[in-house]
Amino acid sequence: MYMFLPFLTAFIGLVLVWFEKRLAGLTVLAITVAILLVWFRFHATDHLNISL
Amino acid sequence: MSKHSLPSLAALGNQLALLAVVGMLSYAFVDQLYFGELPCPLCLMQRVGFVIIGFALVLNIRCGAYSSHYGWGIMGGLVGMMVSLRQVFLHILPGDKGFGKTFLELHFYTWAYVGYTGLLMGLAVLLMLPNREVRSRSWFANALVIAFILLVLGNLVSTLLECGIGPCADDPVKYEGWLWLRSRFGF
Repeated sequence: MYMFLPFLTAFIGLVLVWFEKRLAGLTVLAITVAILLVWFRFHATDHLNISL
Repeated sequence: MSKHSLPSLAALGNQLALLAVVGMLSYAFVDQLYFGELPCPLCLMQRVGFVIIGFALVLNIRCGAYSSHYGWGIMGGLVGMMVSLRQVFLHILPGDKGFGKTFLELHFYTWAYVGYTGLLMGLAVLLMLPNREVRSRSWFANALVIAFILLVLGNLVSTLLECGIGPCADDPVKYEGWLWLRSRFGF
């Protein structure tokens, strides 16, 4: 789990957006959301001991 | 002054929302660097959630408003909200002192949940406004976008110094990536 990865993709995407590469930026934004979801899935593996 | 020199309500809203994101990420850095509290993996994921919302706002400011920008911002905000809610639930049992210091009597992950709620409500309001002339090249908008990009770069460097290129410790107490660099290159 490379914790720095979503920051790296977000930084690359923001640089693209600064130069008005909208679709490329949007694609990298979607990748960043996907990485965050996967990282959260990796991290939240145990059940919480509370009744919800 | 002509009416065109004033930003539209949606443009102002996007810039103020980005200012809020920049403020939150900056305070997280103050807490990390000045008060010496290293962010846990869940804390870093919550930062990423705010970065995603900010990214969507930057897209609006630089390229004009599109519903897809708001959509991705809302999705990132919802994932970040899930992360913060999980951390709230991890420490919800009576007697649990929580993780880290408090700010105005609430822990940072609880503040993150409040922040996500506010930003998602803000995005909902922005979606209702007529989204004309959101694209902006004013000095204020440019300064905000540059500050945000620098904060994301700062988070990238700080995460590399804290965790190296692997996973972070659940309760980090030292900059493991920095220590590895020092031992590897001998400085």
